[in-house]
Amino acid sequence: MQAAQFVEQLELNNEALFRASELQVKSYFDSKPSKAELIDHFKGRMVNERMNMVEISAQIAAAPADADTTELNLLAKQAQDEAKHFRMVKNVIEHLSGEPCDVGAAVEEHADQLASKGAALIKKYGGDKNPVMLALYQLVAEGRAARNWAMMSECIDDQFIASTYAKIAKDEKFHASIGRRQLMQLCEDPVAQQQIMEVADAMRKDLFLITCAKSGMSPESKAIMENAYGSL
Amino acid sequence: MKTGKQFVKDLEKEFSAIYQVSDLVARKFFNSNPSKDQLLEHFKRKMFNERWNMIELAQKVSQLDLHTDTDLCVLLSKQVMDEAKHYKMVREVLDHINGSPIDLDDAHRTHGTKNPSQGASLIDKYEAHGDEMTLALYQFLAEGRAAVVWQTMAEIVEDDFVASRYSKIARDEKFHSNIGRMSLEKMCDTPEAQEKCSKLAKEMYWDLYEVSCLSNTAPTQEMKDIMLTAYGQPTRELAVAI
Repeated sequence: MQAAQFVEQLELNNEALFRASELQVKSYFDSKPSKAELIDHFKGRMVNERMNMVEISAQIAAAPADADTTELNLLAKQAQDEAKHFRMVKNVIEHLSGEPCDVGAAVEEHADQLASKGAALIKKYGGDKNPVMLALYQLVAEGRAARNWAMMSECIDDQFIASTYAKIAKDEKFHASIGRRQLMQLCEDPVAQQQIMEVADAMRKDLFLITCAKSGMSPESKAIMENAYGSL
Repeated sequence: MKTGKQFVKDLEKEFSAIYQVSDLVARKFFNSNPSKDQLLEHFKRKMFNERWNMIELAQKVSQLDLHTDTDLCVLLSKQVMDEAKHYKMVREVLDHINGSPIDLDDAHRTHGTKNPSQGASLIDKYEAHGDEMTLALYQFLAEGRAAVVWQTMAEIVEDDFVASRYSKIARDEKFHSNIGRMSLEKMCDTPEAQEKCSKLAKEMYWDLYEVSCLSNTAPTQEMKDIMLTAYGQPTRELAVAI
């Protein structure tokens, strides 16, 4: 299959994950979580943004000699966006709590949950060593993040938080497009296509389970996932 | 005791001599009408210096302490992005001078290893100190010097394509220098810290003098006089004449 056609198919197949994740987000906010729950929820998101900053920066630091200069520019832009998101979510937490947020303490609090953050999947799927896997992660995980942040932006009444999340959603969409661009180049190779086919559904399921970790799984979103990717 | 801000402001006044020498070195090289090969050689070193800066800073961001201020995370990652842009921009300048795309793999083989004529080579030396103040001072002083050198090149080079890129790089380097300034202002808030910073700066002036002279051209008497008048005799043997 040609790379463009393969990537288009991949994106179509992401749609069930994106829709199921949106439903989870909506269900969580419809449940009217308390302020303390919300703060804890956003601390988790803040830590995930920090992890993304760290992981993408590590990718740049380990870039091979022949790495494309445009590709490096895009990754560096993404790392900076992740740093900005880290700060933006911190500001949201301070806005909610009315007091300064100790980011170090928050990272330590969530230290035992780091393996359950989306960013941990970069290493799980070998994205730290294999550019095909990093690009797949970007397309799937950042694409899902874009839809989740956009849904949060719609669900939240507070204008400060809603506008912050709308901005993050826009950036995440751009990061997904970096993955798409990279996959268009890498997936001319049938071996790369095969590698992706072997793990794509597992990655989608992992991402969905991360979304459900705190809020529980709604029957509707579970059905969407299982119809698309098999049993969870 | 001076405040951190006042100390750093006064310290910056000392930088003018090394900045002046760096400016003279750049002018001497470009006024000598370098051949195309010499220019390619010069800019390959510059290109990989930008790449090394990008790599070293990205590594630093990936290892930041958990309690690092989020503003500093944003500023440092902005600098990584700038260095990545500069790497690409200098590559475009090389393609432009060459008349066709350069072979990046080949350039990496010949110029991809850090050498003493690249400012980034000093990062290894200062990293070995394992000391935040040394790195902040390097950023403040060396990125400020880089801003001067890129701006000088932008003024001398007649080609508009090249000049516009250098001018942009110069502006970014100035911004990076300010990141170092902000960190130093916070760190230099005790007499001990100020004394340590002054001592480090005196070493760094001579390190940067070596980098300037090794990268382009042998120092002239005027350059030597400027350095000696401002900083006195170096406390170690230099790899270039003084």
